[in-house]
Amino acid sequence: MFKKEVEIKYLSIEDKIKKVEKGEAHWFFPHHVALQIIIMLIVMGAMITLVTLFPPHLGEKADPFVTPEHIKPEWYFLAAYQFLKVADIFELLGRWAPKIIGVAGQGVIILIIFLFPFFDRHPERRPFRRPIATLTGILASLIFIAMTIWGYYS
Amino acid sequence: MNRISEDIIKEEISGGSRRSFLNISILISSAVVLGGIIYPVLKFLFPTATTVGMGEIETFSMSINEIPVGSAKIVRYKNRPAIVIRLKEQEIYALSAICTHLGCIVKWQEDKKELFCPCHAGRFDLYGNVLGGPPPKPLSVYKAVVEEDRILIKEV
Amino acid sequence: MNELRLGPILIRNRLLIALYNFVESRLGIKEIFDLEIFYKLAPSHLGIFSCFGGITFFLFILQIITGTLLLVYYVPTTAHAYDSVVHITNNIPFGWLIRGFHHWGANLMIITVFIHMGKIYFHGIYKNPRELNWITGMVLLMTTLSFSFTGYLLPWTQLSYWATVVGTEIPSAVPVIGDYIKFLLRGGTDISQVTLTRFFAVHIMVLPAAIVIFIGMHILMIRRQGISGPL
Repeated sequence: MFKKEVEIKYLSIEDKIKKVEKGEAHWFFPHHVALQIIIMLIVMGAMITLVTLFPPHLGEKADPFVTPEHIKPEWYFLAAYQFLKVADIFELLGRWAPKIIGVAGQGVIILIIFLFPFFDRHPERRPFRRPIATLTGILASLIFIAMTIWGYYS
Repeated sequence: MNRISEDIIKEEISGGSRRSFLNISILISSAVVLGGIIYPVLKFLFPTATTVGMGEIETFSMSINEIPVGSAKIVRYKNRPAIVIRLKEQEIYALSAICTHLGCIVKWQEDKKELFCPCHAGRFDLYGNVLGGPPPKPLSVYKAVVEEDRILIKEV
Repeated sequence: MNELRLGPILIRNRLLIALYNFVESRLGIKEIFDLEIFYKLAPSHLGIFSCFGGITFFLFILQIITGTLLLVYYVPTTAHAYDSVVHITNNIPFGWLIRGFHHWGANLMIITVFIHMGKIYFHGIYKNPRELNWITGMVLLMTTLSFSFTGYLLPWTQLSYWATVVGTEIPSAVPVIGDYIKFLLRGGTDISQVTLTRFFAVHIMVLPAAIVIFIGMHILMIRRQGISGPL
């Protein structure tokens, strides 16, 4: 695979022109660079809008003697936080169970995601030709979103 | 080699007006955004009166009894050290205590009626003028007035 | 030579040509310029979702810039951290802007990372030969989340303090070594000045070094293998 990329890189300039004329590729400069600049400008615009319309909230100064009523992590940790709370159902296995299963469970999930390319080795890439992987992905995303919302409102 | 350059030059530079309009738009927007980045960054880094805590207290006041006649005291005025000297009962002088040479804090010498910098032996009189030593500039002088029992220090 | 052609650019300025020739004769930059910039090909099949890795990278650059700026005024002590953040927001010119950018950049970065990850997953881009790059990507995701976790404590607010109390409590569930991890993270039994100092050090020194190394690997692998072909 990488040989193909390296071959393209070292094509003669005439061959590269032919590829561009046939529409198989674009010039990196200026075509692709211009696109990148446009995208960066859009991102800057989005950032300016967010910063001016929704400036970050700064709460009260930390007080180690007073715990606030609702402690919540940042939104991207809500799902993991809720997962720990849900693990309370394993209490029936003993008092040790909820915490360890909650933490170990997430460790296992992360490990599976890390090594996912080695479980899913079939070369097919189109989403509709590999329904199991696609459905798993959609389901995992939905669970993550649902846990986040649940964590936000609980 | 020549062909390619000419082709692209034709397309990119002398090419259609739509493309050059796009190029100019990108250029102008980039310049605006770049300026919008550089200006706040420079302003953010550049100290102002509020950022260094200056100009918060316009008038400093202290009890006259804090300084015995003939002696001096270092106080915080506008967040920087100032020296207040009580020469006679009602005669008060106030100056910046930061030596203009290398920023050491000056001392009051009662016997000579001079301000002395211990670092490189710079000497100043009660009006901030340099009497001797390396300081390049006089000390800045503040206005000190006595109202009842209090000393008030203000900008001249 | 009165003119110099770099791809579509035509240079006639003698000074610039002389400068170019000076560097060219010493480093041979023409080859690099031609291969990497002026006669480099970019894929023509890229859609909007292919941009999110790049957008994340751009946001990361912004994070470095705004983070360095905040570092100029931020005071990492329990007594002054909160006040210094208030000072930055209220008194420093454009302080609200710099802090706002850092805050929103962090949040947007997480969103764009997840979108990037989704694109790679659903289009099967992680498959042979790109398994290794999926792993560096996962390391980058973990690093990004660690950035968020350590950075969240720094303003020393009620929320950040107590979120850190809870967050550092979690590893203690790991059997045997859990309590040691917690103790190491906190630098003691409680969240204190020691915790703030080490979170600060990790946030501004350790994680940036780690993320730069892994971003480098991530991008080098892409450059070596090329962007994945159309579906």
